[in-house]
Amino acid sequence: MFLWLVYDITDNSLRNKVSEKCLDFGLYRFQKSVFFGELEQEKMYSLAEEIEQVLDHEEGTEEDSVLLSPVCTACLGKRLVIGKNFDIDTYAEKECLFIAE
Amino acid sequence: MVDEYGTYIHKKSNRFIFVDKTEKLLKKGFSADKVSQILIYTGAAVTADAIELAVKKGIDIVYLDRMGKPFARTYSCGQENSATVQRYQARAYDDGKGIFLMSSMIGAKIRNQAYFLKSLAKNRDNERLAGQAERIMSQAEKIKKRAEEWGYIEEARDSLFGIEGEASRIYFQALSNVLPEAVYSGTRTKRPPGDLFNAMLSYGYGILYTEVEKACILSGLNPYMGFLHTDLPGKPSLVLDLIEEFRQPVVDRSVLSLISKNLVTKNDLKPVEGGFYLNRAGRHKTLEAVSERLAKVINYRDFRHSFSSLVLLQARAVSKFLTGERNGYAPFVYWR
Repeated sequence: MFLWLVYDITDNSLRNKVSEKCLDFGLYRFQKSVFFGELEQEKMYSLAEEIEQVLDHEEGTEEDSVLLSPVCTACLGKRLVIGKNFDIDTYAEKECLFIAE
Repeated sequence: MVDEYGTYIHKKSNRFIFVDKTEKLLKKGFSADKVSQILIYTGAAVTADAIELAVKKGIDIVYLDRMGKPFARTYSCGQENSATVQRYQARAYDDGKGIFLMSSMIGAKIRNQAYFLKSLAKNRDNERLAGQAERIMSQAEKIKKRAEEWGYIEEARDSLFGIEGEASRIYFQALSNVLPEAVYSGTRTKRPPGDLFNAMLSYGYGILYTEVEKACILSGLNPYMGFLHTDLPGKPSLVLDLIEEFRQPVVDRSVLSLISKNLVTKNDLKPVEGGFYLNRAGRHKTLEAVSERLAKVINYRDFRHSFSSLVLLQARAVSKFLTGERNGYAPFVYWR
């Protein structure tokens, strides 16, 4: 399923660790603190768990939060985008990908 | 699946990062959770860390030459113990199981050729093709009749090669009814391929080959110990035996459809001495089509499987038949 992940984290190093986790799980960065991608439900839970462990740190504040929200393709189809284009094909899983020229 | 030229791949936590050597531009990283296979063409490098990550995640790294022929691959040193399977595999050469396996596989291949021509004949309403399909089918019937006469694996091998050769001759001749002369000369040519259709077949079989070899290894089989194809150092004869069941359903069908839709043309060829190879665009289009075909899910014996998982199921079935866990072996026949 597709999902959005958004966060607001005060500490630079913690924020960096969380964004690295997102990339590790195969999410793509759409905005500075917004990620998007395709994950199995189980993977979404383990990502949330790993992020929780990162935030469970003395630098974490009461204000820090991370939201993971699955989105169905029907809802995704109704999206409106202003400015930088959001193309689902860029983020959907492919069978085959060519890199390098 | 990632196919890649002239770059190097390193690891960063759970990701493969591709770096362009010429530009030193950091390319996109890929989560190891999202990759199942990395195909590397001569001229790219992979760091040991990246290899370790791939092996841990069960990702296959295959190195291919420009023809699409795999020349090396990496897999974990911690393979499951397959000594038992291989002991039985060696015995099968003399205890009749080998003969049974290779005649099943070749029988399936011939039927797959006939079914493919049949479906083409139906779509194009072509009587001549239908007749050629029937002639090929009768070659498959011959195997059953002859099988009683075979005592040794060598006799069976000669006889099967003869039957298979005749079926393939009719098959490749028949395909000239559906392909324009500009892209297909009417016979199978290799090393180098003589036309577009042959160049695409060779390349597609290379991709399929990597899939079949992987399935053999995962099933505990020794890829170098085959039955129909004779022993030669460095010749993965079991892979060449098992690949026979999948040539038509996976490669021939996807290649023919690419050509029929004009998606690959003579512009995708690169001339070499005595023939042609696919150029980069041609390789990409062929690889993409064959990969998509391998991922395609079909109904087979009341279950839904992708072609890729069917390859693995067949390798497992070979292994179970050899060890005696199963009494018979049913080859993969695709009749749509």
